[in-house]
Formats: sequence, structure tokens, C-alpha cells
Amino acid sequence: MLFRRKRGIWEIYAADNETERTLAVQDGEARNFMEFTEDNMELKRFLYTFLRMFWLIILLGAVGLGVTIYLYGYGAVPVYAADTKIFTLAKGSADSSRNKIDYQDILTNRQLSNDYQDIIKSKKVIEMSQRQLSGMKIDPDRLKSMISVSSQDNSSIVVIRAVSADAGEAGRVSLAVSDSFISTLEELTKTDIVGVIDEPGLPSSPVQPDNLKQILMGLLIGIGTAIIIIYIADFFDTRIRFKEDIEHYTKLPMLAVIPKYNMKSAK
Amino acid sequence: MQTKVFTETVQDDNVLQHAYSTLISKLYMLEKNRSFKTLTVTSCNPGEGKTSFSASLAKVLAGAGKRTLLVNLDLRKKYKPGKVSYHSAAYGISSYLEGDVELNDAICKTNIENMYFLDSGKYLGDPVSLLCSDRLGTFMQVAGSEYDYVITDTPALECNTDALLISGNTDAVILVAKMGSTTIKDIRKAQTQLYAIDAHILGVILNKSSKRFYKKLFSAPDYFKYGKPALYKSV
Repeated sequence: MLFRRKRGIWEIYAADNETERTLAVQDGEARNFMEFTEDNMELKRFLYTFLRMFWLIILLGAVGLGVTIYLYGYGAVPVYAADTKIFTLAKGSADSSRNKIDYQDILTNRQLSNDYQDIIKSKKVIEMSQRQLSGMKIDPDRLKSMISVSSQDNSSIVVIRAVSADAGEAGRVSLAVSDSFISTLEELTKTDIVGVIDEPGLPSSPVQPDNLKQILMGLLIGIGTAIIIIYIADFFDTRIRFKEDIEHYTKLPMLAVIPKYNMKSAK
Repeated sequence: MQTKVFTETVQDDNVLQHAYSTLISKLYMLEKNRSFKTLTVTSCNPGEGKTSFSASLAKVLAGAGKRTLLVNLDLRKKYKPGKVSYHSAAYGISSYLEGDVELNDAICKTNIENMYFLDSGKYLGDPVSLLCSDRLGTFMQVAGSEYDYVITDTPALECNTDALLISGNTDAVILVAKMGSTTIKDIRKAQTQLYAIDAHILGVILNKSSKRFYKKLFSAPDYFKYGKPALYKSV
């Protein structure tokens, strides 16, 4: 097939009469020669369109950024977080003949603190804290989603955070879960290895949502859409952009390029 | 003989003068391969600068010492204020094609030396009947023998078949395209149409490019702008 070029124009001119067929053959011959001599017009044209439509990238990038900031920043319901800090050192688990805590105890407990994260979200703890919060009527799935557990790397301190749209609810949930966790753990290990350091107060201001990922995603989606639009626009754009376009696509000789000027009307 | 005044446009502008002198040097080289006396200037779409271009080309050719006749064969165009246009003279080519006047009575002198102008004339009917007559061919032969170049300004190819009818009677066709507006598809279409009537396309003019773009085509466009340092000073 002679019309195999990328730019959409060649398919339209499928040779259906004698003149066009002759043109097609001439094109084919000329193109074989051109392969060696011409620089890459398609790339050149795409870069030109890219620069010409760069405003679209800025515009859609800004729109994507704006929409995500609105959705995740301003549009979101303000949430409050209440933290309960728990220290998980097993003072009774050590050998009873020794009264002091040695380094081995600390290491063991640091490893254990990773297990606590699973214990806190276990059915047993959740159900127990639900019983404590019986006045509030929170179903277990919602309770689970409100709680997050974090501990620093190999630290013995575990922070139980409850997040809610209601500040008082967040505080009570955090404390209830902590209490249930402590009693469950004591029951399980027959020791008193955990204790609350900080009880949650009433959170005064909502937490700043951590939405950097979503906002960046919105920006990228905007820019990506713009690039796709530019690519499509370039694909279907057959307007003459460069001097070389004439000879490359039509095989007609280029006579001259005439600059723009203001012609006064002839008298 | 009527007279007509053209404003000097090409001479005002350095860049424009450069462009047109490049063009006529190319035409001069092309003529060595295949001679042409009568030229059709046409374009794919209206408003791509045929009228300005053909007037300027005629002026430049006349300036180069060629006896040039500029013919306005756009018989449908009505004068619109503010748009580039020739103001109609009393007689024009339509009067000649109808057989009302002699050719020399219809042709206007102009304020530019060696340049002559033939207007469309006031014709109210359908131009196709005039353009299909044998008198157009006769006109081209007579004018071609009397002048070095005959440049005809025609309507756009996308509007009607006038330009094709005229191209059939002239030696060569110059296709005017507007930078950033005419599509390759348009030019392919024009090419197919013109090849179908065995017209000889001299080439394409890229009109209305920005001056910045034009200067980029030459690696040293400003070399002559500031004057070459004089090696030999006249005492």
C-alpha cells in the first residue's frame, strides 16, 4: 500500500482513478528517495504542536490540581483524631528473681509491639470495646475503620488513634479500645506488661488530611489528558506548519515563503 | 487608455523585498526548463492572499524590467470596503470577452513602469459562459505575445471551477497556500484537480508566514541589513 504514512490524509486518497493512481506511484518512488534525505517530519510536527498547545497542559494540570484539592481538601468533612499512647514493657514477665529490667526484655517487647497491632484489630478487642461504648451504637466495621495503630520502628510505645467527625466520639473510642486492648493482653499473657501513658484529651482542631498522593495523581491525570489531546490534535492536523511539509506530503515544488505584511488597499 | 495607481508595498519592506526577489530568481531558473508566459495564480480556499500576491508579483516582475500584465479574472468578486481589492475600471476583461471593446482599450496603464492592468469589468451574468468561450484562449495567446508575463488572479478552487477553466488556458499555475491554515488535504485535492486538466503546477507559495519564521529559513538573514564593511573606499 502506497499510502501508509501516519498522518490521516493518505488513506483518504485511495487511488480510484487514473490520475490519482499515477500520483500514487510517483509518491511511492519519491518517498523511497525521501527516506534518506528528509528529517523526521512527524516528530518535528508533533513537537511543534506540543509547544503550540502547551497552554493546554498548564490548563488541564491546573484543573486536575484544583479539582483534587477541592475534593480532598476543602470539600472533605473535617475529622478529629484522638491518640492514646501505650507503653508495652513486660515488667512482670521477666524472671521474678531479678528486680531490674535488662536489655533482653526491651528487645523482646519491641518485637511484640508489632503483634499488638493485629491484636488491637482483632474481633475480641473490638467486641469488648463495643460493649464499653454501648451507649454510642457503633457497629464493629465502623469501629475498625476508625482505629489505626502506629508504632515507631522497634519502639515500645504504641499509639492508638481513633478518627471521627465528632471530637468527643474519637476520644472515647480511642480510650475504650485502649482499655479493651490492655485487659485482653493481660488476660492472654497473665501479666501486666502494658500501661497507658497518655490518655486522649478532647481534640480541639481537626487533623490536616494527608492527601499529597491524591493531589499529585490529579495533577498527573490532568497533564496526561492534555498530552493525549495534543497527540490526537496533531494526528488529525494536516495544516501546513513547515516549509518542508509541501515537498514532503505533496511532492509539489516549493517556490517561496512570503512573510505577512499589511497591504494598503490599492487605489 | 485608462490609468490605475498601485501603492508601493514591496519596496517599503526589507523582508518582503527579499522574499519576492528570491521568488523571481526561482521563476527565472524554472523558465529555463520550460518557458511560460501566462500564469494563473490560485489558491485552495478564499482569503489566502491571491490578490495581494499577484499584484506584488506583477510589480516585482515589472520592476525587473519585464513587461507584465496583471489580469483580474475574479469575475464574481464584489468590492468590499476594507478588503484588499482592485477598484473596478470602466472596462475590463469581461467587456473584451463579450466582444464590446478592443483589448488595448480595456487595458489600463499603471503608475509602475512596465506594468499593465486589466480589470474584471462590470459583468453581472454567470462568468462560466465567458470563461468557456474560445475568446479566453485567444486573449491568452494575444496577451502572451505582447507581454513578457501575464498574471491572472482567479477565484479559489474550493469556490467554483473558474480557476480550473482559466488554468486550462494558461501555461502554468502558481498555488498560493496560507501558512498554518491551508491543509495538506486541500493541496492534494487541488493537485488532483489541476493534474486532471493537464495544468502545469509551477509550485506552491507559502503565504502569510510570520517574519520570525521567515528569517529562520536563512542562516544569515541580517547580513546585508547593516551594510557590508567597505573594503574599497571611493576617494
